[in-house]
Amino acid sequence: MTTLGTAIAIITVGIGALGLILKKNLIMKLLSLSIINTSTILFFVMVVYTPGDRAPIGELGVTQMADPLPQALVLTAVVINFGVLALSLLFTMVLVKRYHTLDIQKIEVSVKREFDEEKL
Amino acid sequence: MIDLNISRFTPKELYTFAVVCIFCVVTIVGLALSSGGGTLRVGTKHIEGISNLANISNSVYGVYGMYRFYDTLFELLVFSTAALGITLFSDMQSTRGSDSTSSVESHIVDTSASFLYPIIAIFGIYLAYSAHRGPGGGFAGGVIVGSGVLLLAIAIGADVIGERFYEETMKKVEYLILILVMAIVITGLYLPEIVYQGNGGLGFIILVNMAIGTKVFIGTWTVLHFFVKHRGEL
Repeated sequence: MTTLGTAIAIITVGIGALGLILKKNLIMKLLSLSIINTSTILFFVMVVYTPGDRAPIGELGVTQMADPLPQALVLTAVVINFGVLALSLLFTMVLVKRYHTLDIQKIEVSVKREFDEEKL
Repeated sequence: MIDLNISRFTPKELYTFAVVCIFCVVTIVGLALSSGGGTLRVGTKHIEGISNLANISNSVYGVYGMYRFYDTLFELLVFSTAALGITLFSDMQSTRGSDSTSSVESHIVDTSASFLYPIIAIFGIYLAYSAHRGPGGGFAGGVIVGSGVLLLAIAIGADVIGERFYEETMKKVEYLILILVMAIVITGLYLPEIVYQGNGGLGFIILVNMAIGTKVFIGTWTVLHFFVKHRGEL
């Protein structure tokens, strides 16, 4: 485990969270989500990194074998990032087609106005 | 000289910044204090158990058969959900004019795509076929072949490729493959000596890997084709 690497990964998660909360553009929000996901992968890699570990490829009985569990978790994280990004880009396209803006505050105002008109 | 005028920021921004900073500092300090015991090895017990299994000659296949397999299954479910959402939406969407799907008119892109695509496809199929012996896997192979087809679609037009691949049939094949893989995995829970260790120590692993590769290729192509077809609309 590398303390410097894990610290960098956690700081990057913080930067991504700041962008996710404070940015008003929907595409920028999705980019921040992607940054969080990538730094989670960096965190996994940094937590299990040990100098001298070998991949268990080839014969049985390799001494000092690398732990395969975080690799499986990283694969899952990559795939889930792909799925989440694809679906949320799709929803962004739906929102832009309807409201013609990427600003989340303007979209909220429009949705609220439509809701009030329906209620009357 | 950095201008540190705090009044430029709204209270909400300052509050969010403070909360994120506290989170980062607490997590880093906690990790630094708790890392005295050396490396974390969660899966070591499972790796050591692989050597005791009968009829398995290869540790990659041991890891794959013991727990990567279930992991891949749930990855497939997540991936299918995303592809299903995009398929449903693109069916509801009215198709636009053909101006947004025109190809890039460049001889360099055209020639390099038609030269590179067979190599990319063979590499992806090799990764899916040899996933029980080394690095790779059905997932990686399928994504590589799908990206190769995307390169071809950018070069000679998405509509031409979409007609060439019979999308309606491909969507049916996708869900048939998902059912087949899930049936094999559930059978493997009850009859592991046939599914994982029969057939000379190989079991059904090559069939399952190729099936996963095909399914992921179809899903990747569905997603990427949607975004290529609707590019430039935001």
